[in-house]
Amino acid sequence: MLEQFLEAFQGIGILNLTWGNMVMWVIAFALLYLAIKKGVEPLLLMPIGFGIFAANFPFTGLMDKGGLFYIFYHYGIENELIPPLIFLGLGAMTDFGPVIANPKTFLLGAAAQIGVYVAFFMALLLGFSIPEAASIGIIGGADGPTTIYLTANLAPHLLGATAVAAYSYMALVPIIIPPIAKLLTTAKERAMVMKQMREVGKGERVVYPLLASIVIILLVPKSAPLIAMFMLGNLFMESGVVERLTNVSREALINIVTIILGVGIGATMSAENFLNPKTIYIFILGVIAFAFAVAGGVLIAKLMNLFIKNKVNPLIGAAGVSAVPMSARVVQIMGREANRDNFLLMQAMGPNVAGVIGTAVAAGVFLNIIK
Amino acid sequence: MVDWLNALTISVTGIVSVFLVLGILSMVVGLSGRYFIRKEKEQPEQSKE
Amino acid sequence: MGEKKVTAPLPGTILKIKVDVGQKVSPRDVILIIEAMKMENEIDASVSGEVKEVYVKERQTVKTGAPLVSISIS
Repeated sequence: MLEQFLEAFQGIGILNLTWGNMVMWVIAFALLYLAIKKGVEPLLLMPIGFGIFAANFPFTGLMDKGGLFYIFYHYGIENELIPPLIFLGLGAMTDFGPVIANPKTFLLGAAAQIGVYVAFFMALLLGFSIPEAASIGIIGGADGPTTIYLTANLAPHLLGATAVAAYSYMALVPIIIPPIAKLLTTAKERAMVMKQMREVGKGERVVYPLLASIVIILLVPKSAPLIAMFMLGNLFMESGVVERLTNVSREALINIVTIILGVGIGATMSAENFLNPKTIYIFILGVIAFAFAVAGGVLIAKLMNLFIKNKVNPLIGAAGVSAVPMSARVVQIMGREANRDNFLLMQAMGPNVAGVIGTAVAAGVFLNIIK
Repeated sequence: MVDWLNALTISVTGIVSVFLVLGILSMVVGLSGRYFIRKEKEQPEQSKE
Repeated sequence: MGEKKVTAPLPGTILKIKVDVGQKVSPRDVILIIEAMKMENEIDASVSGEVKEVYVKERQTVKTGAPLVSISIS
């Protein structure tokens, strides 16, 4: 009887709490603090933070096969269900008008993906494997769902680190973009006022998601889950006849899946997965990826200006790092600093939404080649 | 260790594809834009007739 | 002398109108605020003069290029 008693007693959580668990709690509390007190991506960091916290109690079975968090993770993330659903919601809130009016800015969305490949190489130099390096590089696209989608596919053991890096750097966009963009442009370039955009009619807006799907999915088939859902959401919105579907996609549905996504990611962050030097490298590489993405966008914008008639303000290249619409807002602020009458916000939305497509394409290409 | 040749192939394919896809998209959207602008200009004239 | 029409540099919602007809303004005075993409954008008078007419109301949505205010330049 005493033995049974001792056995039962050993099953109590508090006696089995490890150092690793407690360190992860500290990380969880730090994320919760950032989310609640500092407003850093609270919609994501709060579920992630709490997911880490709850998953690091001993004996809960939350992450054992069949456990609640395991179900979130396995069916939502590992099976790649949730990131495309988030893209559906994003599509239903994305206004492609600016990029349709000025299609050249698609190229700036491509240019900002340079950061992805710079970080990819640096990760390889630091000893990461090719699938791991691809998952780290994609952080430079500044697109959370795409980062999660690719990492879940190629290097699921890094999911916690890449997701947290992607979302926390997105919040740091106002700090990362200005110094780099300023370094690469003159005050005169930043002050440049762009030609007003034409208005994009409804017919054109409705045709766009179909056209874009054809081009992108034909060329990069593996980008289909993200792109197809993105364009479907956009069609919902632009068609104007399925307001119920538009609203549920961009409000209820995206919120519901974000909870499951956040908790599921947090739950993968066990001490042995997260507390190793790789995590630190990932955070360093992430910021490098971001920096090169900004530089790529700005420099290609300047290059483009050599060839085109209606010049673009090179600052809008910096908005090619998706982080919609934060980076466009940063560009607007910088343009205004250089010239009180300069309003780049809508112009910057072009590269901004093109950057989302660019990152999804980059992820699709990685999936196509890396097995 | 790392298969550098493979890594190089992956990143070159990646960059080229990203620019190719968005470049083509830019052209296609540009062309469709021109079509829509022309259609818009034609319409008011037709309604006058 | 002359008249300047201040137009909307970007599409959005008029959040606040800070001038009345007849009010004197100088170039760096904010005449109204347009909210676009959840961001408040201050629109300057950009000339000095007297506000002659205000074409918009608060909470109204405007498109790029829509006339906002006309100022008779002094």
